[in-house]
Amino acid sequence: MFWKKRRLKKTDPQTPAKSIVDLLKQLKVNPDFTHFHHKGPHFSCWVSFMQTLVDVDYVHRDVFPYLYSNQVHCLSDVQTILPFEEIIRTKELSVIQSKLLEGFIVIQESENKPDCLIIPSIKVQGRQVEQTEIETSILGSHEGFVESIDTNINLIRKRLPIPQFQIKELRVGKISRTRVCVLFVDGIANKENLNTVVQRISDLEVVSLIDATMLALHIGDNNHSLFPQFIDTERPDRVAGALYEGKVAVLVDGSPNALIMPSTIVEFFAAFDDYFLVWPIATAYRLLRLFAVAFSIVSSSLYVAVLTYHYQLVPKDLMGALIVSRSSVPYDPVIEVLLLEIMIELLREAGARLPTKVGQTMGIVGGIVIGTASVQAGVASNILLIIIAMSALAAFITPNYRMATTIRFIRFPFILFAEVLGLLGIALCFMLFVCHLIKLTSLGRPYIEPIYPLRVTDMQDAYIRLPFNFQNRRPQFLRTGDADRTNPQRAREKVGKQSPDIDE
Amino acid sequence: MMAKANPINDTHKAGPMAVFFLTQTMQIAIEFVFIQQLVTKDSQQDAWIAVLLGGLSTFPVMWLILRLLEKERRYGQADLFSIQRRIFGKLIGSMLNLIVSIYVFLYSVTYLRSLIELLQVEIFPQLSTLVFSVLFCLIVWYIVMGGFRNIVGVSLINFIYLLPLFLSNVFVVPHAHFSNLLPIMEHRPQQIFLSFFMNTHVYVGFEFILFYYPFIKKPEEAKKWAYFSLLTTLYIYLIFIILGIVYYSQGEVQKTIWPTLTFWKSIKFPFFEHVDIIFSIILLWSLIPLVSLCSWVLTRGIKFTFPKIKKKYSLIAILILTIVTAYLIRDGQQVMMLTRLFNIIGFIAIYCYIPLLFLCQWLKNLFTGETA
Repeated sequence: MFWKKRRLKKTDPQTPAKSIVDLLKQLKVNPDFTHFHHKGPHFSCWVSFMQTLVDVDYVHRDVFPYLYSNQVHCLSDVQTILPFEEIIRTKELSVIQSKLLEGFIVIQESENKPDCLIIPSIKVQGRQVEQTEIETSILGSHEGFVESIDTNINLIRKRLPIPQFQIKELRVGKISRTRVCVLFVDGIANKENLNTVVQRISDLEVVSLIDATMLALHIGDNNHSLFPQFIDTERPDRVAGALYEGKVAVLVDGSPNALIMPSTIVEFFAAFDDYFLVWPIATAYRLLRLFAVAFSIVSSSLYVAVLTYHYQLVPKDLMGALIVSRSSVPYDPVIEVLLLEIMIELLREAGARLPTKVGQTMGIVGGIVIGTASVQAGVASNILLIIIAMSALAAFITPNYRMATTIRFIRFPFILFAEVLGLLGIALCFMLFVCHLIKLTSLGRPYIEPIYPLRVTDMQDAYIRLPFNFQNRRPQFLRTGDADRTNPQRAREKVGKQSPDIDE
Repeated sequence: MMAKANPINDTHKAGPMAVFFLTQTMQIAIEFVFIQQLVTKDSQQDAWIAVLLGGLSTFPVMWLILRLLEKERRYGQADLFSIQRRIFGKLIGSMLNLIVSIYVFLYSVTYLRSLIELLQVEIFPQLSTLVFSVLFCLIVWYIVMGGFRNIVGVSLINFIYLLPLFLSNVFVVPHAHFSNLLPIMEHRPQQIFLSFFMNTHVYVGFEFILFYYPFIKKPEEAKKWAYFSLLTTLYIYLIFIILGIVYYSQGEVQKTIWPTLTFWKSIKFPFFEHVDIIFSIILLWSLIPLVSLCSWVLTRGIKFTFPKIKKKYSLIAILILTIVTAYLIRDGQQVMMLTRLFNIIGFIAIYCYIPLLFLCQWLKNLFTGETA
């Protein structure tokens, strides 16, 4: 198609400024652009900066006094006299433009010549480091990431004080040129993983990049999959733990989330708190979480299947209670279930969008008033109300928000299949999802890893969490550069006598 | 004359343990539901001897197969299609490949149709064969499109899901009459052999290693997994046949079509009843990897004979053919007939054709002057 070709051929709509004069003219339209001529007794120059990006106090206090002093005669004098560690002298227009828009000051000797000094004076403004809001925890650190990438790197570097901890900076977005940092520990992280991440990010053709989760959707292995393939977290301690384990983390400027990759599906159900509790308790809670997820996915569809087709599965004693609660309901089980499921979804969505204070009221109105009223009015049965409420509760147990949305969503295909083919339908739908999960990869690594491919050693930190002295090897899944977490020989020497007898 | 060796990328291969799971899935599909009825017909309470012998006889056959494949590795790709073409020449080799393909096709259709029959009798009398097989084949299509490694993954998960079914044997203990096993060795060898013949059908399936052998990493290590899998199968079938004998009287077990399923009906939990329904739905899982592997083998066979046809297109044709054939089989009587037919073909394939092929390979190597 020739018109398609023509569209592809079209040049970038962005017309870059051809000379410094053009650039200044382009910028002068903005009211926050400051551009003035300074005329001193010995030296005169043009100073330009974006008022909103530059720390003005700092400029007045630390830059101008030197500029106005008597010792300065030319631009190189300024460079030597200013007490800054990093002053760039350049003629390159692209550098000037990007630095100007990042909050640097540009000093020129004459307005029309591109030769200039670039002095850093970025105003750091943003949220203070605050408590985590989504992934809250009772034990452990309460710091959460903020929107500034430098603060976030600072939070991680504090936890990884080693030179091997390295950062690769990339720019993404045709117009936005957003800063994206790939974090890894050299020698531990798998080189192949790292190269894949860097390549996928640098190959990205987007206009702008606003958030880390958006990046995850762009660089995922399967962008149509319902399941998130990378963990997003707002906890610096979790990122640090993952880096020590040999994973790669990605930070995006302006986003309070870090991406951890590659990840397996069980990691989405592991809270970071698990590592702060003794292992039997941590294991029990992990299993509880997995059970809750399974319950949340199939409970309402099982209700539909059993009541529509397989009533012989219900024990005799329970049958009475079911009949009593269902006798006043005029609808089929599937209509009843969909009604309540959609109601819960509405409540959740409304609760998420409304401000906190109103949101609480919404919860009370929705949960208590509509719930009991619908039962009393005879639109839904009591038992179903219990099941739906429990499955909604169980869905929120998942520590990761994106995974929680997935789990809530895949309930609906299950309900529809259950209506059509009963238990058989549920089984088929389940098969479809399991087959999809088998196929899915995260950064080219299998997504349901400790199960398939079967790696028994990786099970120690998947469904169960064994004590730390069992976990002295890094997961095989990551193919790390250094398989041992600790020096095995030294660890063995420190243990001492293997099994002392009673009273010895 | 020799087929062009098409090297398989390492990323498409599976580890040596895959042999264990694939052999398990191919051998234990749904036979353990009706094995008792098949086998006890001729040798009543001594049927377990026939099952034991049947299981033991798979070991030498497996040894032959592995030896055959190992020898073949130096002549190019070690799978049955290439072997037949190399030994018998292009024309006869292609004809044999066609026959083998029909066998594989029959394998998948027989199992698919018997499962549908079971579901129709046990759960949904009105379940449409067409609708179900279409839905089923869609899932199979999705898996086979992912390649060999996905099929291994599904068969692994199948193995895990079937475990509770095997563990359900525990519930037989309170109702068991172990005296039913007596007297031992009451029957003549001919009767035992008849039972042995009847249960080839349940052990058949391990010969599929002939097709996927080139896709196994480190095939030397895979050997032990292959034998271990045969041992597990033997154990499972032995347990199920003993279950059938000690739980039922002889008259009852020979009249029940699915003795294991009937036994499951006696299991009761306080929370829910009718475990048999849930278990027969879990059985569905065992069919997914089986039909997937069969379709995968067929696509490879077609690609081998007609290199121009892409696997992803021939797969669709194969699945449509599977659906149509499954639909054409009308009722339980025909399913039974198909199973009997399949039993005979399986017997010939395992105990006659594979030794013959081994012999032919040996002769071929002898005449071409290369020492094995």
